[in-house]
Amino acid sequence: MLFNSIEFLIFFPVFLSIYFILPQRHRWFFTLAASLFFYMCYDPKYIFLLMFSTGISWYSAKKIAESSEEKARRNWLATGLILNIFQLVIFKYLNFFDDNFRGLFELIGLTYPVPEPWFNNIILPVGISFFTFHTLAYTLDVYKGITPVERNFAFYTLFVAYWPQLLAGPIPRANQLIPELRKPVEVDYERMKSGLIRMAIGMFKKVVIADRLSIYVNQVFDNYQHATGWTIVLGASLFFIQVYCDFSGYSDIALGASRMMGIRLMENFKRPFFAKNLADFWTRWHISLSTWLTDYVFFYLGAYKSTGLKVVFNVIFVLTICGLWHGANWPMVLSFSMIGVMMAIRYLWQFNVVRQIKPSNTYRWSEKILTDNAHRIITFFSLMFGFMLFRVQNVIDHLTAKGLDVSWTEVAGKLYGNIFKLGEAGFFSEVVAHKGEVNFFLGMFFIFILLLTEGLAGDHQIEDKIVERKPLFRWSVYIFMIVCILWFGVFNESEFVYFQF
Amino acid sequence: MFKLVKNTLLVLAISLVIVITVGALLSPFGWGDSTFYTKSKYFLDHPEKFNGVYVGGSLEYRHIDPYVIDSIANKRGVDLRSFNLGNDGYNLPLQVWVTENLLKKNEGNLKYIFLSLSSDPLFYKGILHTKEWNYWQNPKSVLFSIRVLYQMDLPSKIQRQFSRFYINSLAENMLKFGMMDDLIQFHAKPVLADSLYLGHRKNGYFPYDDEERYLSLRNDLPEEIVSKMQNNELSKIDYQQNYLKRDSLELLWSNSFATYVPGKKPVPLYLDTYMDLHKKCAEKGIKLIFVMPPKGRTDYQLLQAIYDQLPSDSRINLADPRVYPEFFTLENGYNYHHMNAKGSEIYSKKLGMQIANLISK
Repeated sequence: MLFNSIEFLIFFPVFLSIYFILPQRHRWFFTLAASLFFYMCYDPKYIFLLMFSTGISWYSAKKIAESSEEKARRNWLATGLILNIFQLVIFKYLNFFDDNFRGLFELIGLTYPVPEPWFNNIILPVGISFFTFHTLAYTLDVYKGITPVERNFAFYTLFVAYWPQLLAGPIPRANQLIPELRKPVEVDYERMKSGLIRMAIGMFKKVVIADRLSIYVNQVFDNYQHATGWTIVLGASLFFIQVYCDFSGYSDIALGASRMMGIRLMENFKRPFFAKNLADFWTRWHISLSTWLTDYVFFYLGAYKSTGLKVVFNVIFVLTICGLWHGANWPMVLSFSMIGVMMAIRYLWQFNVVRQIKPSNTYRWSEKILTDNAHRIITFFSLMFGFMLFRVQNVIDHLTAKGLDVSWTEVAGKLYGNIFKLGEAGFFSEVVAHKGEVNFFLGMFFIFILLLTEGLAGDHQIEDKIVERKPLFRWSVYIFMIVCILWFGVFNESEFVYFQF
Repeated sequence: MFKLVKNTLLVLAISLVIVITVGALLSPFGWGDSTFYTKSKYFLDHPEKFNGVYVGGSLEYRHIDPYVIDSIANKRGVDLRSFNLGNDGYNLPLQVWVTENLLKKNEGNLKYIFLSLSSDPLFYKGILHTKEWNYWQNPKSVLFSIRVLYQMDLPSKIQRQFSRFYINSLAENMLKFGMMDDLIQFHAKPVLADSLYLGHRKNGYFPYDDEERYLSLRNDLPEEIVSKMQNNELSKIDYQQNYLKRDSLELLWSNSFATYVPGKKPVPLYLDTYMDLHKKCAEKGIKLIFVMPPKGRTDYQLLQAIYDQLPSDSRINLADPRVYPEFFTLENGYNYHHMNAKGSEIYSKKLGMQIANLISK
């Protein structure tokens, strides 16, 4: 059930009405049933994977909590982590490893001993990367004593399967979400209003901006052979904005729906296009994943405690893991590794050069604005350059569906080889003319509106700023959003980009 | 909770009023379908050139050459200057909608309307949610379509399904659901179909052969046209090769006429609507002639039952394969449901003679 579907439009009000009619003590169980139903709407059989992951993590955490010996605790921790990761590997990475080993054997002229495997037909279960990370974090947190063990299996299942965040995050932490799920909730007009506005903002980002931009992005990337210079720059920039609007739109709907139920989820985005450098960007983009990786991988490796090459390795390694989490294919992995390399270079520059320069206090405010914005633009284009590889796998999938056999290196080679040919006339203007100039200018207008509102809201959420204003302004905003969604939404019920992870 | 529901509904209601009112005010006749808009604009902009019009779907658009028909009529001393306003995929409710609009927009020049008797409210589901399908929907048409669906002898599942489609399409059109950018684009710079879609004599006739020949010369075609061409090509190849399907279709049509028992009860609303249109036309001094073309996708027994009830001086039947085998030969066919340019010329001549017979009386 997609958030941008008619089914959800029926599901949510019905769910919410029953949720508030029920007595407090029964609500969690109803939410659990709704969550399992929500997940089974995609493919009922994958509920077993969800339950496997839930069962393993719940039992191993329980055993960790019950064991007094460190060795036993470690063994249960290892069991929980390995079995969960094993399931993820089987369903997400087995094909990837098999393809690579097959290729490697061919390269060195050996016969690959594994016959054409049965798992070639496995379809990636929706949300598996997300719920596996929920359960891994829980097991680790119980082991570290960060969160108490949850003894009620059904309640723990609700924590893992809680429907607003099950399929595409935010990835919750047990010590944050479980108390939220437990606390009694009353109907609160202001809270529900703010949740509803948040949902409308998410829907606006998804159907009005992201799905509109996808029209241009698809045209540019699907015709990558002919794309050069500005066409690639524009296509890749719009793709970056599309992914942001798509994913943050999903998160907004999830957070808004959950807020209406009185359950706060962690924020997943914080104005990422205002990031002044790459490290700053990761504190604003997919925050629940980046904090997960920071807490459970980066700090484990030593974070910034060591110096020089060790830090460089840590940064690149974490970003590579991040890429692998996003997709079992080389373009995705290398896309994030490339951003990791850029971050490492920046770190070395900061550590070895910038730190040695005495900071100047003579900047005027205008110089600061210019410098900050220059940094933002550089950060945006660096990420755009890296995320271009992110899109390559979609091109391969698109061409494979058409019966064409093209390697990702060829597609990436063309795109990266031609992006600097800025003097050549590209075909972007033809795409705009074909789709209608109005369509494109509306897209640009809505991006402007988004950046403007995010800029004006500052560190606050947009909906919090809206509800502070006078009724006439508020109502005008509500009506503007509804009218835009109805008139300018692209209603092809396209999936959210992050569902594939 | 009550306050939230109340305020949400109020915001929704205000938004809907704005959306529906502004949307309706901004929607000119024929805006959503570039081919139909191009054709209807040309026709309505040149009232001095034409006094007759053919209304229908592809069976008219691709088959009726007004030049041939006008020539035949003129030889009989009848002043006929006709235009082919047929358009691909235009089914019964669309044809009725076009005819009613023509009556409203008539500047007194129209003397003849030739309305196709070839379809029902069913349609190809692939066109759902497109502006080409949504833009014309109005409550009256939708109500008419649903009522006809329920009067036809169809499985109840189909009746429910298509009724839902019509209601959804109406809602999408009233709300201009995802269509406003197209509408603004239309006002800013209308995307007109290539003037060749008017036909090389600018009389609205454009057979498939011409389209294929013309489009194959171009290499800058948008994806949807390329895909349409590919579909046309595939249907043509299939038609030429699959003689079993070809023969069985022809047999089906022949049997429809052979086994038809006169006196069959027509779909009441279908007939009433046609009779009402006939009356409205007569009041405006326009002769409305119903033409039953060959190779339709509808049940011919259903059409024949209506045909029998229509005034005998206002109807033409060219659909029976036993009477007109030439429309069904491979040589004259383009695909299963359409003739090629050669077949269309033969068809136009036959139709021209019948029209001349009727209007010269």
